[in-house]
Amino acid sequence: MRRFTTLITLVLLIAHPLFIVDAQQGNQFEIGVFVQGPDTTAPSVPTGLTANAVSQTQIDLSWTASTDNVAVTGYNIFRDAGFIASTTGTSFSDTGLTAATTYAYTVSAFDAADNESARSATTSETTQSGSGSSSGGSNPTPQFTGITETVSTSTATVAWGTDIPTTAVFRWGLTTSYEIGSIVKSTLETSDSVDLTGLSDDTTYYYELTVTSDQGQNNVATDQFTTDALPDTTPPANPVDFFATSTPSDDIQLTWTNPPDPDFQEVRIMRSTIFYPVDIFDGSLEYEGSAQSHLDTDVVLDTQYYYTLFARDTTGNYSSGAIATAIVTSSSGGSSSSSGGSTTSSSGSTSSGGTTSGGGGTTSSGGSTTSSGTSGSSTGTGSTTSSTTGGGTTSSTSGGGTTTPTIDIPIIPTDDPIIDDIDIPDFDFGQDGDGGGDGDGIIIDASKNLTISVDYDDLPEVLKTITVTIQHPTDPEKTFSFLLRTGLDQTNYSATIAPLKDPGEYAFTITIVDFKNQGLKKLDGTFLVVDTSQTTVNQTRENSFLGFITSNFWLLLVFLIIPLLLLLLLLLLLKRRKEEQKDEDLYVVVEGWDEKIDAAALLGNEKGAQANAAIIAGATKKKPIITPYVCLLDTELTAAPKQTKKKSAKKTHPNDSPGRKTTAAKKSSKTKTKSTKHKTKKS
Amino acid sequence: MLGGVTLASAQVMQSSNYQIQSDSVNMGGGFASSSSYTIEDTVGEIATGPSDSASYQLRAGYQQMQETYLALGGAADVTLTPNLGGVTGGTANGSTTVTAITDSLAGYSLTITSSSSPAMQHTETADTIADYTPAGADPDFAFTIGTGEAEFGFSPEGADIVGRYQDNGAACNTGSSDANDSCWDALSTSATTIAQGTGSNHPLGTDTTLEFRAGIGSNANVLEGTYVATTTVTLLAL
Repeated sequence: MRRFTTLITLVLLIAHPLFIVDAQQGNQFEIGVFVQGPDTTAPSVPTGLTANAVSQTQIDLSWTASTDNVAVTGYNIFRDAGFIASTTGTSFSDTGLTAATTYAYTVSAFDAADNESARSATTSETTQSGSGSSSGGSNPTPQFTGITETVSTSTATVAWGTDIPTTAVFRWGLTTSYEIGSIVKSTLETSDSVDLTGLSDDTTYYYELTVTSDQGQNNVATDQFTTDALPDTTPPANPVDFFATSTPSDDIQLTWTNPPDPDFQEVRIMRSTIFYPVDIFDGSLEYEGSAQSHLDTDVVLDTQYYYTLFARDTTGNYSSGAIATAIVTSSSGGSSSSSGGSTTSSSGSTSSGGTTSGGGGTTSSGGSTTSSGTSGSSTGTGSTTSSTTGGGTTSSTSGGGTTTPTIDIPIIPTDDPIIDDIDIPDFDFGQDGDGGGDGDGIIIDASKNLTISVDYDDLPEVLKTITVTIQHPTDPEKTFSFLLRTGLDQTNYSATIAPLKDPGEYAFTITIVDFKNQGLKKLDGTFLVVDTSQTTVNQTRENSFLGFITSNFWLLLVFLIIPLLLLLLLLLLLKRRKEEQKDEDLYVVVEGWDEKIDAAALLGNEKGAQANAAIIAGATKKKPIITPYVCLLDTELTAAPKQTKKKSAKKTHPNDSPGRKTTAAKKSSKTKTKSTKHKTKKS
Repeated sequence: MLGGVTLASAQVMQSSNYQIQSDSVNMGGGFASSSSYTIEDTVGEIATGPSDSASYQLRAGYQQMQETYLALGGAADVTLTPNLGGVTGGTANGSTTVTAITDSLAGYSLTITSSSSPAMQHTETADTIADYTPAGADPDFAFTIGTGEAEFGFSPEGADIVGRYQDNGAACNTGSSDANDSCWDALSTSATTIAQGTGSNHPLGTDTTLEFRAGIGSNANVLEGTYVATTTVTLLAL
């Protein structure tokens, strides 16, 4: 083993300062200060001096700070050129003033060396004179601190605030003319409001609010608000084309067309085996959604199912309900029957679970087709299809052997006079709020919803519902049924259906049903659905004309009858005139006389002789002789009555004494009068 | 120190009387063996020391890279504001903050010295502003001068300020508080310890704010002009 000696040296290395690099660090810097000599520089002149009368005894001053080469120590305030106070800040409240008095203010700045600036520009202000306060100067304009509008469907409250007390004038209207009215608030207030009532719902109103301070300063605000819309209580239209049809798998396929209402949300189908569900809780829920078809697979053979399809809008209003019914029958040798139906088919019926006896397939009476299908001799697989009653309404089947009966509710005779009285004209067919027409002959716009309604009081209390079935004008197999339902106010039974679209004459059947689901009465009618706007225009024109006639009947009557009466009167007058003329002829034409009137002899003078000659001449010519002589003659003579004048004249002898009066002569006063008239005219 | 102690490892040690930054075992190298072991060892070297030039720094030799991190930053020139009225007098203030960073386990010491006495010297004349004169041996809690006096002083603030500049809310060198703008003292050409740390504060360091104030009494009649106090803050690793 190698032997060696080890020298151990222990060195303690003490940190400081041996092993520290940069053991100390020093930062050198300077601290400086500038000492100024005697300060002879004055601060700058204060600027921006404003004065604000906040009350009758106080004016607040404020200004912009001055600068100085050393420092600004404070400010001197002068009122009406007299020193009133010093302050170190840049504002000052001058109190103890006199109301309604104008004061002039200036301000100067000074430093510690008592260097004082020049005085600022003078600002004048007048303390308040009356009640209330103001801000912003001697004649401040009131400022709105806020305007709020609170509206309902028929009321609105407009509230406002101002920075100073004001009176107000509030005007409002449907336009910026603010034509509806105005409200004056004559009390000085810093907050006020107006309540408007009787407003229309969902309507925009414009208003103008003018506030006026006690100094006469105005401020005007204009704005508008819209009242709330009334809650939507209008249900959507019923879906149309609601059909229940079978499927080969013995299910019932429900199809329909959703209504076009903008707020339509979904449909709800209720099903019952008793009768058509009359509300959304009647029966069992079959489907709810926005689709337009649904397959009812929970079907028991030979059970009739009643479906009511309600349309729901976004507000939750439900339509009165469209209805359909269907039955899937087991094969029983044609247990279903139809009368007058157009179609029955059963080929290839494949329903299962049914009980068929006797085979024979299906049968229809009155139908055009009878076919034997696979169900002929089978058991449990046969099925049958039935169609509905006559009149062209229909049900048809597919090979599945199911049936879709139409709405055919048996009618139970009743002696209820109300039922007896009810008739088609009692039903109203309206569109878009128009009352439409009653009963037959009405015209329906194909593009609009149709509302059918009848007054609640026109129907008996025992009534449960009313069904309406509408038949397509060109496809008799296409029928569509729905319910009329009474509202909460019980003013009527009504239903609205979506536009029918296809023009033509629709037959409809209204069935009134009591609480026993018995039909009380069935009413049939038709209405015409038109599709073109041209038709609408013509119809409108026609309606306008009829409306004009109706609304102006009495006026027209007056204007027509009076001229007619006048015309008749005129004719009568003319006729009378003619008759009178005839009388005159009779009177003056004396051709029938056998003897000449010897006027001269009668009168005993020359004029009488002339008259006599004239009479003779006139008689010859058959012209009226209208001369004073005639009158004179007539005066002297006593003529016979008109009718018998000729005859009487014959009996009057000229030689009779002038004072003698015969019976005929006594009746000649009328003739005498006429002659007098002629005399007057002539003269 | 020599001894026949074999140290299996070197470590830093300290006591109340000394600190050993690093230790080393230097002994003769060679091969040794016994019945139970065999060792081939070497011995360390005596440090050869650093050498620097303009382009490099060399730490040559055994444990030459052993050093303490020490940094002082933040000090900047201070202009007291506002200007002082030489006739009317007034008070001008300013401050700067220095940050002392060290990984020395013993901590650090921060001192301040002025380059001249009094510290504030007129830049153009021999006029001065006197150093602040506390009323007693301890700094004044409040900066106070007479109307005929013009003085310049400082007040340190920070977490590590020494007891002289701590206060009890009314007096300095007592209590443990550090009220702002309190405990005013005079700068001196001798180093005045203002802060002291007791351990490593690396890497965040510790801030010490130096507040300076010059006050001129209303009757001091100090000559107009700029006065400057050149001051040095020194950080020492302990």
